[in-house]
This record gives sequence, structure tokens and C-alpha cells, in this order.
Amino acid sequence: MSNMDEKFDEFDKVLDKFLKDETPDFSKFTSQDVDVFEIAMLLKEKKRNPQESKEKVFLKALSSFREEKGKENSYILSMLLKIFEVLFDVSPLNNFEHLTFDQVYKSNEKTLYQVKFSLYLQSRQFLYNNIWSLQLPLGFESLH
Amino acid sequence: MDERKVLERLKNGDEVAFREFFEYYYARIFNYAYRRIKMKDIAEDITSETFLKFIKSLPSFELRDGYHIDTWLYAIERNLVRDWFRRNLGKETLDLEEKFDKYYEPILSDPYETFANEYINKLVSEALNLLPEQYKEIIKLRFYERKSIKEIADILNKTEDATKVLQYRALKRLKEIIEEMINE
Repeated sequence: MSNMDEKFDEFDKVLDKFLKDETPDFSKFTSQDVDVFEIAMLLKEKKRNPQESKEKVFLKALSSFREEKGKENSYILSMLLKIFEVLFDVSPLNNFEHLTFDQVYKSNEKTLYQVKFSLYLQSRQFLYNNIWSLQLPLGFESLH
Repeated sequence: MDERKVLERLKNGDEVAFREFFEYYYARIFNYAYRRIKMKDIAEDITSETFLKFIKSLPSFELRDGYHIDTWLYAIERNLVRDWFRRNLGKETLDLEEKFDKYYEPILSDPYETFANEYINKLVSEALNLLPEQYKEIIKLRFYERKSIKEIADILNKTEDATKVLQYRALKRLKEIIEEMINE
């Protein structure tokens, strides 16, 4: 096959995919091919029913919408944890001393978080006392 | 649709508002991408990406007086379409498209109307009539009757290679004629 034949063959491969609504590979196109291809774009059907793929696109967009919202919530919770750390002096005295509450929360390790939190409570007599002192105003019978 | 209220609800993460917003804009966004690129999968990707970029920009997006949500949406979409052309065809805008833009409003009070743009249809069909008979025939067989090169080669009694050459030359000539008509 000569170079010219290859060129026309390549053009037709792209055109064929384009007309079948598949995604062609334009990498071998020269600028002249692009100019000619523009006419093919002009001649192809002008309308397509947008409803065909609506739900697919919606679900993708919705998932991103939820993700963005989730990021915001995660940010707020992360801020609250930082405030908590400052208020209650989280100098680590347990096995996870290299991690802050915030880091554990972000790591998404729920179990680790629970263990760290309970170890923290056990290690802080003053916090236990604070909770104990809240019993009467909150009307709890006992926190034991 | 009260744009400010919708925007506020979207910012609060209201999924019902998101559905309403999507329903309102989806067809317009898709049609614009399809009209420009004429490939369903790519038009879907661009539509989806337009919504995603809009969502990501929501927290910092403020609707100034005199502006509308669609101004922002179409700005995002136009950039995505241009990016696609630049990445795949080596230029942001195609030549004829630029010239057509002078004759019709590309953005987008009603894209369906833009789709059916009489000016372009008329111009193309007039240009087709000016083509030599053999060129006109191959374009009709390929684009309007959707026949394969092999089928067309059989009909025209040519080899497939010769048919591919004819197809290329017919498209090239059609472009020249349309450009001449626009430039007149």
C-alpha cells in the first residue's frame, strides 16, 4: 500500500468510527485531514436524543455532588476535632501517640479511632472527673 | 426557575434541588456539545464534566447582578469543547465553525433551534448541488444512506481504495465550495 493509499485508508478508518458513533483515534491526522474532516462533522446528523444517556450522566454528577458535600462535612468535623484536641490537651499517652485525633479520623480507621478515644479517656483522670462533675446538672444517675 | 434560590439550595447540598437543576440544564448542555463534536460518547463526557466542574466551583460561586447560572455553565462547557478540539484535532476552533458563528448565535437560548439552523442546512445543500455528480453521489451514499466503503465500492464499481480516494476528494471539494460561498 502506498503512502497516499495509507493516508486515505487512515482517514476512512476515523470517518467510519465517527459515523458509527464510536470514538476515533485522530492521532495520525494531518492539519489537511482535520480540514476535510470538518465537512464530515457538518454532514453528520445534527440531532440526537439527549434522553438516551441522561440517567448515566445524572448518577455520575450526583455522586460528585455528594462527594463535594461530604468533603465539606468532613472539613467541619475535622475542625471540631481540632478544637477538641486543644480544649482537652491531647498529648498522646497511648499506643497511637504519633497520631492526632484528626489524623486518625482522616485515616478512616473507625476501630483505631474508637481504641484511641477509649485509651484517651482512660488516660485522663481529669477528663473522667469533668464528666463525673457534669452528672448532676445533666440529671444523669451515674456514668459508671 | 429562581436561580438564586436554586444556587442557595445547591450550596446546602440539597439533592432535590440538584435534580431540578440537572433536569433544567441537561438537554441544553448535551446538545451544545453534540452539535459541536457530533459524537455521542464524547458529548456525554463533556456534559458530565461540565456538571462536575460546576459542582466543584459551587462553594466559591456567587451570582452577580445581571449574570445567570447558564453563563457560567456554558463558559465551562465551551472551554471543555475547545480543549477537546485542541487535544484531538490540533486546533481549538474549526475554520468553518468560526465563519458560521458570524451568521448565527451559537450560545444558546435554545440549542434545538440552533441545531436546526436553516442557514447551515441551506448552505450545505446548495454546496452539494454544485459538486460534480460522482462526488455528490459518494457523499449521499456515505453520509445520508450510511453505506460502508465496501458497499459504495460495489455500487460504483470501483475498488475500495479508489472509493476512499474519491470520498476524500469529494469532502475536500465540498469544503472549498462552502468556503467560497461564505466568503462571497
